[in-house]
This record gives sequence, C-alpha cells and structure tokens, in this order.
Amino acid sequence: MTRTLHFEDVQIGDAIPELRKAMSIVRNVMYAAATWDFHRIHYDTELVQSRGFPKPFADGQIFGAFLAQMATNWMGAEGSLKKLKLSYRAMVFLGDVVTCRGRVTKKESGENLVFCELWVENQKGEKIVPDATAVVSLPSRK
Amino acid sequence: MSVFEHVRGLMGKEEVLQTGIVDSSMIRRFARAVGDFNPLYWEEEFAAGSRYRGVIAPPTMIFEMNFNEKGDVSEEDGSYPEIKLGLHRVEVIRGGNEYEILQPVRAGDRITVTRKVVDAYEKEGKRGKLVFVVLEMKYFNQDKVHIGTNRETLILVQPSSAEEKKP
Repeated sequence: MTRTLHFEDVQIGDAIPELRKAMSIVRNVMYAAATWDFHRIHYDTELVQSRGFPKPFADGQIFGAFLAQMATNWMGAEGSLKKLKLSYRAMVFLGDVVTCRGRVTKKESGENLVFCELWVENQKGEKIVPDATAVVSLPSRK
Repeated sequence: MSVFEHVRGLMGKEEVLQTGIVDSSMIRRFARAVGDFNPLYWEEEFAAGSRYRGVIAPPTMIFEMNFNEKGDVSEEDGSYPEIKLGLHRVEVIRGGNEYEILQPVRAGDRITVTRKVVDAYEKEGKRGKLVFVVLEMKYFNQDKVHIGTNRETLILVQPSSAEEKKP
C-alpha cells in the first residue's frame, strides 16, 4: 500500500490490474454474516437443488466489493472511488472463479477524475457483471 | 392489489430505514468475507498515519450491509424481510446497484439510512410480468452529513396466480 497512482500516470486505454476470486461456501457464509443477509440460496445445497439450481450461488452485491477492491488496489491509499455502477447478468455458483477486469476510458482534469469501464467474468469467460462503470479521483504530481 | 400497484403506491415516500454504528470488527468481518486485506481496514496504526487518520470501511461496505436492529431474519428461507417492501409472497432478485461515495465511512460512525421508491415499472419476462423497482437509499453520518447514495434496482417475481388464491 505504499504505491500511489497519480493522475498524470494514467492514460486512456490503460488496463487495471485484474483481481481473481474463488467463490466458496465459507466466503458466502462470511458475507452473509457481514451483511445480515442469510438467505439460504447462498449456502444451502438441498434448498437450491429443490428449486432446480445445481449449487448455491453468490449474492450479487459482493461483485461490487470485488470491483471496489480492484480499484483501490490499483489506486493506492491516496485515490478515492467516487462512483460505481454495476448490474448482475448471470448467477455465480460455489466453485466458480471470477476475474475482475477494467480499463480507463476518460480523464477529466480539474478534479483529477478518471473514468473506467469494469467487468467481472467467470472461469468460462462469461461476463456475469458485463458493463460496470467507475469514477475515481487521483492525486496530482503538481 | 397487485404487486405493481403496491410498489407504485410507495413511490416518493421517504422513510428512515435503519440506524446503526459501524465499528472496526464489522469492517474486518466484511473485508475478510471479500478477501480485502487493505491496511486502511485492518491496521489501526497504518490507518492513523493515512489521510483518513483512522480505520475506514471499504468504499461499498455500507451499501451492501444491513444494520438489522431488530434481528429480522426469516426462519423459513433466511431472508431479510425488510427488502420485500411490505410484500410477503414475492421473490426479490437484485438487478443492479449504482453507488455514489461522497465521504468514507469511519469506524465509530453512527449511520442513518433513508429509503425512497423512485421508480417502478413492469416488463414482460419469459414467465410473465416482472416488476422492477428502483430504490434510493441515502446514508448520513452522526453530523447529518450526506456520505453516500445507493440506487438499487430490484426485480420482484410475483407468485403464480394459483399460489395467490391460497388463503
């Protein structure tokens, strides 16, 4: 966390270092406890199979937390995430591995804002969060 | 009253949804679930030396968690009934979120959350009509400073008409 990304270091088209996450029952249960959302669809195999799903699946909002982590890892402690917009396209089951990716689409000096497009894909390359966007503010070297 | 009429009727009314205090163990529990070991969330000393001068929460944490002051959890399916907007026999699917982060949440902050239904519309799905609801949650700290907004789209799946006829 000693690295600092400055506004001047960023170019349009730059890729954000990717972030990979394995979805496990332990993660889903920890997330349920952390958010007070204990819906059985996130950990109860018997229940979800009775509804026709192969395995328990993730709470979509955790992908926002993953994207936020990708952004903060990239920026370092001096940058700030200002906006994040995402939608959930497909289910992510226990055992899936998701990868967060993104790139810079626009820069706006003044407030030193950087606009990014982000997405999350599963191990088959399917975009489960297809077209997320983020706005971050970065420190300037000046 | 249909599900759609019910949610249309809620439009524009702002309510206080929740209040609660964010503490450092709540932050660590959330960061651990996500797998985010950023020292701003974990290390008191590092965080104190940062521009935040103390431990903060991951930027989207407050929008993802509930304070659930009443311990309201359904024994049947484990769900958090408050999300159902006063409806009982609907399944709620989260469609998307739009977060605006105005200020970081700090360990020790007392947060008040307001909720308002800002839009509701119907769309034809594969298995009948789906009701879309857009909620706007606003977050305020102990100094009444607006620190963030979460615009959330929920998709309400209505019970089949056969189920609806049950007493």
